[in-house]
Amino acid sequence: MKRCVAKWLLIFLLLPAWLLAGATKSFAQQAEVVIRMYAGEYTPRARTQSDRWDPPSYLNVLAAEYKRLHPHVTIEFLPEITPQDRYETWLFTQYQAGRGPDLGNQLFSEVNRHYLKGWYVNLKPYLEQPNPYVEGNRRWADIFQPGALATGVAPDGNMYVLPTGVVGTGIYYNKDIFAKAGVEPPETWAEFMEIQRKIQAAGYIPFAFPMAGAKATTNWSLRVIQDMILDSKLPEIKGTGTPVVRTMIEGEGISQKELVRAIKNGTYSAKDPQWQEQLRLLKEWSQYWGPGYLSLDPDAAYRLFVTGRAAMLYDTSSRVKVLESDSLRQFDFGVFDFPRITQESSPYATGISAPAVGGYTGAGSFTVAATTIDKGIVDQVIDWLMFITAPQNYIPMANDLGWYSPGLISLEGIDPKLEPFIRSVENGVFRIESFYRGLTVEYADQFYRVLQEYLTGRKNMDQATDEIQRYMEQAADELIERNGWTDLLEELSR
Amino acid sequence: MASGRVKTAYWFILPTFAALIALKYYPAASAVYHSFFQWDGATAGRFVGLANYAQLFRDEIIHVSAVNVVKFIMGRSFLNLVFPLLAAKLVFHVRHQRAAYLYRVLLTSPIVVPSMVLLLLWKFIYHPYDGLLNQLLDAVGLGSWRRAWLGDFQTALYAVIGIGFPWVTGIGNAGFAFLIYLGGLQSIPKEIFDAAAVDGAVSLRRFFRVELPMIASQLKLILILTIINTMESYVPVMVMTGGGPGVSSMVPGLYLYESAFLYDKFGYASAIGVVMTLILLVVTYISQRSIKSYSEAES
Repeated sequence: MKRCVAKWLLIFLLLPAWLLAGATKSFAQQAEVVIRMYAGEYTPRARTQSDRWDPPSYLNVLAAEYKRLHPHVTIEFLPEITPQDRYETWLFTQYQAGRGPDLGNQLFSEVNRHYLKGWYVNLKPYLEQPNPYVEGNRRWADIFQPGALATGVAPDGNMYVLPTGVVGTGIYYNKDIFAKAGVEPPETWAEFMEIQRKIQAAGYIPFAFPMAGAKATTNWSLRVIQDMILDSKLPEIKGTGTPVVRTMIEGEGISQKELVRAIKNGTYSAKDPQWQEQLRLLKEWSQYWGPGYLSLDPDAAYRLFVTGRAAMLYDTSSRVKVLESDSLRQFDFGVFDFPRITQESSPYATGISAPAVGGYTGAGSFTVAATTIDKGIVDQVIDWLMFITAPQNYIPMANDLGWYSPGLISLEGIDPKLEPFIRSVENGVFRIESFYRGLTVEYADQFYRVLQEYLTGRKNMDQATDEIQRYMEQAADELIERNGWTDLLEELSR
Repeated sequence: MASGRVKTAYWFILPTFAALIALKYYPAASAVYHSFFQWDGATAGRFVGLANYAQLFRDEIIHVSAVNVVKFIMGRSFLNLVFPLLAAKLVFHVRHQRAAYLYRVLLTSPIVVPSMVLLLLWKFIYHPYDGLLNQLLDAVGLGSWRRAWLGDFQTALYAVIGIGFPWVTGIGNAGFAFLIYLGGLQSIPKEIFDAAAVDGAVSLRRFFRVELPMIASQLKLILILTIINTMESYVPVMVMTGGGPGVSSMVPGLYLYESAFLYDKFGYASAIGVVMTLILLVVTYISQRSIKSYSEAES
């Protein structure tokens, strides 16, 4: 009897303790959540002595406001890592170790390369939910430009990235040098070559073209030139025979699979004289890049331009605010669009204007790590993301950085200096990817090395294109195997 | 009692062994294992047998980088064997103790500077427009020698080899070499110098007939360390040239890194690593056997 009483007494004493432990645990979950965020160029930091312009800080304001609304949530900003390829390497190791940022920032092309590894949360279901921070919103996806949503779709149809940072590019020019050389911003390629000849004769470096470090400038240039040169051939490359129109979405022209098909069936070939024309034009342009361009990285190229030694620089919308704030600049600058290639310069030109290079590749390309599900904080991370993408928060954040426009439908209050770039992107981006993201990363490096040898005369066109064609076919085979495109193999074997 | 102490000693070194196994031996074994797989580093790999090794021997970039690393090894070996030794000899023969100490401090203190800082500094020195080297050439009337040192196919690799002028301290193990040589010279018994002086061996003759043979083991050590360090090293090339222009400064270590982290070809990168290790073992063995220390020569 006494033993029975003791047993039940023990149970009744332990039961509340067990229940309390559960309550305590849920209270602890409510008590503190730390969201590790990698914000890319938006990473807030204090100005240092070596800064020539004010770094962004608005995310601190948003984090504080969010904390006020959700006292148990703390946002921890991870330090920014540059350049891009070092960041990607760091990110790879972090995700492998299960330590990827809870809310990350990654190019959609990279996410779509890695999504099969299970690193990311599929955002599609969350985009169907209302955003509580946007008045009257019933569906979070409705606040974004359709292009942003379309760009983020992975090959499997899900969405592992929300690419909302719109970037544009343009050719920045030194108005003072242009005045001294007696030239105006060009409309056509032939005019472009002519003004550079005059600028060079006036004793300046016509164009600061970096070919060391990041491959961005070469990539943009070839995207634009290739789009114009292959304009008449794009329907054949796409395989539909119908015109390929320009839109705001990268990759909506010729998809990677269509490009691979075109390589395998020979419609896209480095041995095609029409394809080779882009290399010829680039080589013609390279005589105006100044000596040492192979060892010039983007920062050094910028420095040549901002110190008034080079007349032009091809760069993104991110340079506007930087140039305006930079105390090294002692001249007025302007921006013009990439010139149009006409029949005067190439027999393959159709006279179509240059496409925009840009789109949804700026900072603000958000990913949510799959580890947030295990940590039980995925809903909180999504909520924070909804908060920062609400227009009343995102637009001031974008204005603070001054580099990118948010991919939102409502852009009321956006910095007017970004508008020319947004307008050019709205007119349509390039329709066919160049070496950099068209195929594999390895192909991009192989192409780039051969290109450097061709531009400097170490390889002629035949030698260079023989090698490029070989690498192109290897990359196509690798992509077919990696993506399991057996339907493509069957189609090609018929 | 003694065996009890020995057992205790083994317990104390167990953590070190555990770390060694986890951080050195396991990764090496994993690399050998994965070299037989097509593996992207994240998902399960596919067994491909010797395909990675076959590709390695066909790969043109491997061929070019192998030649480059041989040049690199020869260049750095010469620089690490000659210049730190010259500096050590000069400091060794400084009679004034305080001056000798001061020189030692001045020549070894740059070791504490992070190598990345030095690499970035040299990148600036080689800058085609604002670089110190080109400006110096202009200043002494050699403007025609101006180059894009890191952007020229002919000079890029040699520019990377040559960083760290005057090659006494700083990059690689040069600063360490200076101390090793100095220690070696200081350990030569004074009686040997006295005997050499009696025999008329002074200055250069003393150096080649007495000092150099007596520090042969130090030379062997520095040579082997330089070969290993240079063979594995890729950071200077990565920071300064990225292996370019073209592949003119590509080295196997950097290609291994790119294959793994940029191209998702961890299996292939592992195969490169295994082959590099085997070559290093052979080269190290040959170096060990070919240079005899003084004591080995005596016996």
